Amino acid sequence: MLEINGLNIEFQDVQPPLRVVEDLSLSMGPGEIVGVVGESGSGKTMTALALMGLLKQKARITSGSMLFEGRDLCALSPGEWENLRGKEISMIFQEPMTSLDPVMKIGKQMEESLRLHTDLDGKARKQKALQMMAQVGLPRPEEVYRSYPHQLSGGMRQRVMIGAALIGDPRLMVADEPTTALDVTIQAQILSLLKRMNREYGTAILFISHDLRVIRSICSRVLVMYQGRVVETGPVEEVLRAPQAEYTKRLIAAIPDRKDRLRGRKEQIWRD
Amino acid sequence: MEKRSYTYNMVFGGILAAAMTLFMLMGIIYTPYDPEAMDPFLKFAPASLAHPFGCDQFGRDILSRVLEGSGTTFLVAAGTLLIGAGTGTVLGLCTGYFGGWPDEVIMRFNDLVVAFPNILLALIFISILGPGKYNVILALGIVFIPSFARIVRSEVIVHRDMDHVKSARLMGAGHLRILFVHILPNIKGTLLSALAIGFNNAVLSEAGMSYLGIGVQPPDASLGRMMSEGQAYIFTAPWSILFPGIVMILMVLGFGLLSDGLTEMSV
Repeated sequence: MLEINGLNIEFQDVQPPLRVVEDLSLSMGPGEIVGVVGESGSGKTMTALALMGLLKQKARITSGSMLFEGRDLCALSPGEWENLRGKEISMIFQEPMTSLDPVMKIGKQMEESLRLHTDLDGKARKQKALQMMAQVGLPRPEEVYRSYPHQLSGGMRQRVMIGAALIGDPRLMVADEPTTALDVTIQAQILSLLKRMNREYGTAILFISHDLRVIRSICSRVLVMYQGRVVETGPVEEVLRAPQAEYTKRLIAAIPDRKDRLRGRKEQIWRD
Repeated sequence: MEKRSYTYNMVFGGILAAAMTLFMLMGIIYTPYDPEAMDPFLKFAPASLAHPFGCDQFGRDILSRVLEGSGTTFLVAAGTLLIGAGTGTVLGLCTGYFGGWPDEVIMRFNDLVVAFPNILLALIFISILGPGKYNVILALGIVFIPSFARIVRSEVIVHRDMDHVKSARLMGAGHLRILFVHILPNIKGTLLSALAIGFNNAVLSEAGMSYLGIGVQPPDASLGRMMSEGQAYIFTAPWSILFPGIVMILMVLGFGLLSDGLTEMSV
């Protein structure tokens, strides 16, 4: 469904040009969840932005190709991108607190992609939005439909974002650190919601995170990125069990194990 | 912020501004006497039940003239805002959102306009266009464009890169929809308070120009003109300058407080 081959992204406003993504290749089948893991600045988000056609002017794709269902994404016009975004590829971000328009009602924001990409009338759109709200586990949809973002909690807002991203029934959703800003219990809820939506709608998810544990709990395959390059790729369990690249090993070592956690807890108690 | 609380400025300014707007609108459709009708027997007649604001040097009813003058002032101010704020907002939206060299060119031109004192610039336009109600609207409108463009532009720049605007892009919204549906409502607060202050400035500029004799021309009455005429009789018939002055003060006070109230509410 998605084929990225030898993708290079460079910032060309500096000399020499700064290469932020180098020779990235990735293929995804329909309904698959693929993880991209790496530290800040490793090129994860740049890859996602390239995939959405939203790279800033200064960043250019210098070589490589992106094929989405047989179409060459690099050759799309701005109008074709607008048609594709939200309808066939959608994206959610890290910050649910700021990703919603503060002065627009939740319902209207949910419907945005329907308004842009379908001919449904207001009534049908509302119907679909309410259905989607129930799907993503928002309580009292009618009430939430009329609320403003500041009236919802972070977890609820991320549910709204996911609903808004999935309402147009896209083939692929890019999730850029969707759980990073949430606390651990909400994180688990959102992850299981994403998994459920993936099952029910068959939407493929490109899941970007810096947290290997999150990746492990949701993805089937993973790409490990470091300084713009893919250093390792393979099924998640395999990569975690027998990492090949030095960077992956260090990344895995950085996950605090139970002993560390116990020690942490003790220190916590001491401090209290 | 579950429930909006209204501040003292907002309530008092809102009521006063609404009352004055009503007064001005009334001046457009109704006056108790013909504002132009002269009566030699009523020359400098002081306030009475029949003429609550008294009469002027030609025996014209001052209340009627103040009403008509406020109506004219309202038309001029509203027209000025329509041209100035309308054009300024569109310019600000586009330059702030798209940036690049058109932004530079337009904003430097803006600086050029701002570098001249407002009243001087309006004077230049009037000397080209000639005086009169509609030319005053045009001149003041043009003079008011830069301040609105600047205010809107800086707000747009703040909102342009916010996540919610990015997510609208990700949904596939086009530039126009983003500007008018996703950004404009977010800067409504700032824009409204700028409008209220702009209204005041327009009222005062019109009065200033009419006072200098280059604004609204007779037989149209305007508060500025009435004050400049009444000035000669400030000791013999103080009411001929007092009442237009009071009405203008209330007008400016009302909209000034309203603007403050709006600013307080949007933070």
